[in-house]
Amino acid sequence: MTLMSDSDVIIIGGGILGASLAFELTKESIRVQLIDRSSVGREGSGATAGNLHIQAVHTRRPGQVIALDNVRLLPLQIAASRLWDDAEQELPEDIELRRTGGLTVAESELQGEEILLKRRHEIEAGIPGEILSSDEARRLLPELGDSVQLAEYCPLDGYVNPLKVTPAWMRAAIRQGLTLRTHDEVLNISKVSSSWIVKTKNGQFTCSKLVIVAGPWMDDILSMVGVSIRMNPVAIQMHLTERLAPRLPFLVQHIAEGMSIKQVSAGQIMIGGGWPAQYLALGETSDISVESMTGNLSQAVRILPFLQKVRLLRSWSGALGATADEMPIIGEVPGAEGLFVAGGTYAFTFAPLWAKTLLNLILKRVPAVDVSDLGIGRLMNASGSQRAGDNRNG
Amino acid sequence: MASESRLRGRYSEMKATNHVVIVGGGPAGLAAAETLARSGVLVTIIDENPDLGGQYYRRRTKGTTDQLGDYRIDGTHLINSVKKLGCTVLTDSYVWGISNDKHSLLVENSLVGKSSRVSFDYLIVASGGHEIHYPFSNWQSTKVMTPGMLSRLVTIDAIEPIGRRAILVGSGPFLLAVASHLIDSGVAVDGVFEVTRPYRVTKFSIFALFFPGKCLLFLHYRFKLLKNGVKLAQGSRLRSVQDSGDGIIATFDNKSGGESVLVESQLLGVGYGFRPNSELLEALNVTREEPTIFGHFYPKVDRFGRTSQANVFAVGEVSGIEGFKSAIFGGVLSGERILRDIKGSQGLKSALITWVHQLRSIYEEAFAKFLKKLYQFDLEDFPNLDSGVLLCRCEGIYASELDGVLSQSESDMAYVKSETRIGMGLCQGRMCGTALNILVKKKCPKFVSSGFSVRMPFRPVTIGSVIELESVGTRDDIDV
Repeated sequence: MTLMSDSDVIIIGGGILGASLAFELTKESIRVQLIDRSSVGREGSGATAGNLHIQAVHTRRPGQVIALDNVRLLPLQIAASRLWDDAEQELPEDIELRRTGGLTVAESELQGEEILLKRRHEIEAGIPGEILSSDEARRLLPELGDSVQLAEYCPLDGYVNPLKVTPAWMRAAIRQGLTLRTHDEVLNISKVSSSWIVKTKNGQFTCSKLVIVAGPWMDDILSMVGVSIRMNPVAIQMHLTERLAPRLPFLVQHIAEGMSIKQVSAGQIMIGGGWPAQYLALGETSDISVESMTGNLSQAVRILPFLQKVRLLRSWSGALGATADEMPIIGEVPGAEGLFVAGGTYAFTFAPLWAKTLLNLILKRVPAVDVSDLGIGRLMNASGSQRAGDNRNG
Repeated sequence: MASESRLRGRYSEMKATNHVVIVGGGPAGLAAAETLARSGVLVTIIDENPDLGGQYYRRRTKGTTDQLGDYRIDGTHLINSVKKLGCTVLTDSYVWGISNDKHSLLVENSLVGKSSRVSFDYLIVASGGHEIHYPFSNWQSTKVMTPGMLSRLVTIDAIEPIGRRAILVGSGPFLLAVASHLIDSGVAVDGVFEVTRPYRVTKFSIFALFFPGKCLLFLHYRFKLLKNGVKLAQGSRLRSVQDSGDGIIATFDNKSGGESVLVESQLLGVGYGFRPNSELLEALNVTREEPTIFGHFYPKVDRFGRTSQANVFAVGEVSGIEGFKSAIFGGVLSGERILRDIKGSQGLKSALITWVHQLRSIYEEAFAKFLKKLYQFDLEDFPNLDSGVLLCRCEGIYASELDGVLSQSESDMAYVKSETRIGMGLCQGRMCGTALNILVKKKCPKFVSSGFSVRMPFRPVTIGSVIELESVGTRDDIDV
């Protein structure tokens, strides 16, 4: 059976970006279809730790070669922070948004200086925060280990339950008229005059605007329209403990090492920080690296010694749709009118912002934040843009 | 430094002698260990219990032994032989993970709460199985346990009195064996309720024809039940248990319809056969057989227990062949196969042993397959759950929470898990995964379910213990 259906917008990718965008578009009574090769929030959006990073991100993941431009991201982070409050208000389901506040710790003088520098940038961007001496930090969080010399507290940091928020946005979008097609795979994409034609395993669909929010598969899908970019996806791993009574009221990060620790609403402690799994197996399970596990957990015990006696329940890995320059991607694809993409770094934190921004770009309005430098053009091969819209199969 | 080089020397020496690590000290693991150690191979056995023996050869405590004598003395001989042959025995130790290169096991000693790496050249997974659970109303009652536990209480532990009366529910010949154990120890059996319909004359004539010895054992059990007036019901599904005074009332329905049946008793043993403790094999990515109706993972193995991964063997219950005799034959065969590998050739005696054990294991395996067919499940053997049935004990999730989740067309295990938290608790879905697999299959028949995927640690382990592994070196490769 071949399905034929027209809609205004087709979204490829049922992760958090697809779900939040579907919600924004259907709210404006735009006819939207969303296609995913498996199920809602199954890949990176389900595997993520779910942190909301509002204070400047300074740290590199272990193995990350290039540092991201953390100053550039600050206006986007504060904008996203506000939109998360709106999302919580708008969605009827509890997405477990918790503004725990976040502590970034330093263990040496040099690291301390980096915190002070970072704080200056945040003040310029209007992000609230406070520098804490080691004594002040320990008064706030007595669990901190002896090695902590300086810390910064930001009240806006927190987390959202990733297993709740993506399905919640998706369900709300469905109530607003979204057509959701899961377990369907895009086979090829072509353009006839101003219409995009998306051929899948189960049918063929046309639209005037096409959005690709397929995380680490973005380059695969873009290659179907002749756009060649290179994503640098990595598989990173997370660790989760047994449930504990409330003990860690903050998201704790490290200024110089990949580390994030928090206690989620179910009581478990989630420990991550972007440590790599053994390898990336896209679409399958990437095997956990024992070295990353011991490295990540050792560091966690150094900063929060009580974790020593806590039982580890499970670990898992998930693909992160990173780019070579470790920055976000958002915008219309140059040379391919009506084709939009979003992804890259901190897609989870930026999800509500990217949804609003894409909505504005699709409706040819001026977005609330300037994203002109975050387009995909910077990652495209020179020849790629020329062939945009041509389809090799049709 | 001196000690380090000495240790390194010891390690390379071990490499040269081919270190075989056996996970599980039950009949299969013990038989493999004895076969190998007798020929001078360096063997380490890892077992989570305080002593070797597994489920079948579980040791009595010293007090009980002094009072009642030894239990299953052939097990005692086997254990003593393995110890005398110089095998390294790591008890109270469980394997919770596998190194990146898949050549070292990550093992925690639960007494000291520390982990270490145990590297192997050959690995024999003989980790056994545990009883299959399917929930019903009020299964969490303290008067409900597995048949295996009931049997253990009256035989190995010989705790008296556990109660005056009991009923046995579920499936498989094991229920008959346990009924017999209970009767022998003075517990009245108020009925054996088999959910499938294996006990038919047509089926049993095949039984008697091909497996006369086994059939005699069955008849022995059957006559014992008859003599003691024990009812043997077939096609009965357990729906609920109510506590009543110091006893229980169990409610059964029949899958082909008819009135519900109420049975009064004191204790209830319920189990649907055994499932493999397959986490390690899954983590090693060995090729699996088609998932069972429960989604359980069985490795594809040859006659010697060889899996798809080089030098990794699976024998005994975990390989899907039930029965302690098969386990022993499987253990011997895997051991002989490794010996042939190491030595490059096989002596006459060894070849003869291999040949005889192959023949016997073919017979045992044929019988195991016959039993699987005899007690074949279908989805209707497992009723849909009433809303008040506890499904996931670790996370406290009731069947009602599946409403609206299971009705969706795309409800696979991962989806249900993330929507409901079923399987996210301490046991990582070991208990509830089986039932959920059935429920998902009932709702979406086309869906191919393969259970929850395995994740490290296979069982909870303290973070302090995990980070012990960071001190990588030769020292922690093995603690001989």
